[in-house]
Amino acid sequence: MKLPKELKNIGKFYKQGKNEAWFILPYENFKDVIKNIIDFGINRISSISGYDNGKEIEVIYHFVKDNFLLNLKVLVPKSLNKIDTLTDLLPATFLLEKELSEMLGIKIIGHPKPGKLFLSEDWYGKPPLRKG
Amino acid sequence: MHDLMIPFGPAHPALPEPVYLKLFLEGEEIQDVDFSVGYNHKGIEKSLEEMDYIKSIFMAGRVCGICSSAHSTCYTQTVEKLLNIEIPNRARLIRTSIFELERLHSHLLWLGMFGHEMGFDTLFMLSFREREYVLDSLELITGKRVVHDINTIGGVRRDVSQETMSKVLKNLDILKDKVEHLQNLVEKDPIIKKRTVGIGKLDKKDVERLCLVGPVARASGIPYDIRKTDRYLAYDDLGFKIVVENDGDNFARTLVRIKEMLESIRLVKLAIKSIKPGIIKNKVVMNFPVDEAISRVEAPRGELIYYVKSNGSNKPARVKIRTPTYANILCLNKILVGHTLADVPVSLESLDPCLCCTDRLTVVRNGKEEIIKLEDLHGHH
Amino acid sequence: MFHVVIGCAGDNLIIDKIKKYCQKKSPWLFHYCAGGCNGCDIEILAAMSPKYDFERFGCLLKSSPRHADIFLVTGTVTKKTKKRLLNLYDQIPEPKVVIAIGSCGISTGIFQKAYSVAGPLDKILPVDVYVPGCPPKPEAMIDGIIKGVEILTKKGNK
Repeated sequence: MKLPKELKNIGKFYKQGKNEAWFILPYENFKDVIKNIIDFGINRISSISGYDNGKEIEVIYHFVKDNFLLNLKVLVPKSLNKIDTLTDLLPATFLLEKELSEMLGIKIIGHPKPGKLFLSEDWYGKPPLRKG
Repeated sequence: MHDLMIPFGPAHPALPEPVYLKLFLEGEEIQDVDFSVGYNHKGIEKSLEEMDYIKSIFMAGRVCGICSSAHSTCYTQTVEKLLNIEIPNRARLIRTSIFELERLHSHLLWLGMFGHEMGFDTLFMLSFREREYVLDSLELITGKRVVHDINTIGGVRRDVSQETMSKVLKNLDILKDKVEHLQNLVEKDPIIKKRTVGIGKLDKKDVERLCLVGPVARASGIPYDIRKTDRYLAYDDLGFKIVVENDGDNFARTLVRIKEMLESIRLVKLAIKSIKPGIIKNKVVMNFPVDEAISRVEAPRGELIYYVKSNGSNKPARVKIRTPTYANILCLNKILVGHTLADVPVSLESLDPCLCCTDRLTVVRNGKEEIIKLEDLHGHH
Repeated sequence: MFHVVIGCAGDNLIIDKIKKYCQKKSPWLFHYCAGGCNGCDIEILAAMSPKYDFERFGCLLKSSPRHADIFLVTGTVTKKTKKRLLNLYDQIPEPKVVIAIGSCGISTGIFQKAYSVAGPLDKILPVDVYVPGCPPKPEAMIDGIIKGVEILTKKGNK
């Protein structure tokens, strides 16, 4: 499946694979862009990955439609350290966002049940996957 | 308001793995469920960042002992995508046969545990006896019964001889009759039907809303199978049919897995007969670019995704694993609420949970330490 | 009128002989997964299956620690399960035997540098038998269980 032309301008395109496309979305209104994608018909999310590259936290949303993978990257500045939730649009992101917030120390605004998932309430030390 | 809260787990006789469920009951009927995972957690994703690429394949195979080849194949596939290399045809067919043999052993194990939850221990013993044919075949090809460690970057580590292939084909012919006998038993037994038909129903809208994967989604009428969409390994050449049922209850999930077993036997026989002479491993120059890659496979429980990011060194910068049970555990509320306490082990087992896959990250909890024994729920112990 | 003395301090009275015979001929097992990958757990279930069959030695896999004689522990002990493991160990009545199954219990195996691991099993419990392998074959496990039964009878003789 090729990327339909309505979606070619959702963000900054930076990588192309055999059946995949990678975009960087702007941090301020990424939720509206994702709402457009879901209304368009791409409504299955497979995973949310996070990575600390020193300056900011890269959060990637992996969407799937048949055999096409649409990967949308949002760069969260470490000074702000928070991101909007997607659980009102997609209930399947409930556990994925909890894991992201726990392992990388980002606050998810609007999550219905924030709190620890894997780590205990009295976990001491920094979030495990943060560097430095 | 709820009358009673029963804690189920973490040490309980239903599953060999720890999970903690809080069941809120009124009388015998369940009103609400709260779950807590993370008891099996060791810190695998962080450890993978400290090993080089070849050693990390062995660690990735030990995320889960039951679906070990699925994890190992998916990780190796992602690393090969980063390096942009192809594997030879003989290696592709060997990987496919081991992948499908593992699906067979996992489904037979599931059938045994499912019978055990209902109190039908004869089905447990029968499934485990037939499973030995599969484990013998795996031991002939790879040298080990479970946790095979057959993959390496660029191909497979061991070759398979002509004599081994003919022994495996003979084992599979015997196994086909036995699996058909088990299918007959499960489809016609009135007690199994009474305990599973109509219980734990999931319809199409639930599957799409919660993005469920694997046999759980296929039993509710949604034909979502990565072997058909991504066409990885040799599935395109061998021709593959998706198994779909429409009812969405515990019985439909059972039928999907049994029919998938028969389809797997057909695929392995075809793959082994198509193997032609050739090399098993391409030479690889390990120059990793600064890049990221993502790849998926259809593990026995559903869609498995690996995301690997490399920063140019010989160790991965980040590995993220999303296992199928992690996606499916969200539907616990829908399948347990409204039914009685005695249906909890059966419904939970029909999802085929593999909790060691779910808890890859660290859990350090010094809070409650309740050990709950559930002999009251399991009258046959 | 006759009295029957049913053994209090003697060594060779009939009730003691019956007790030792039962301990040797029907040891009951209890299994707990302390943070493993599941490979060893499914091989324990395979050891119960008709091909290897440890039930012919009188062993049963029980679900309560209070019924058990032999404690099978698989997996490397994670920090979270450590307290639960000690709790379960205290509930098993004497005489008891602990068997560490798999390389993870002997030396933490491949998870040596992982940061949620509380160490190999013999730092936490007194281990009597070690069964190495990743995972060990069911025949090796049955061999380990038989050695455990010999140790159990020696402990019962004291």
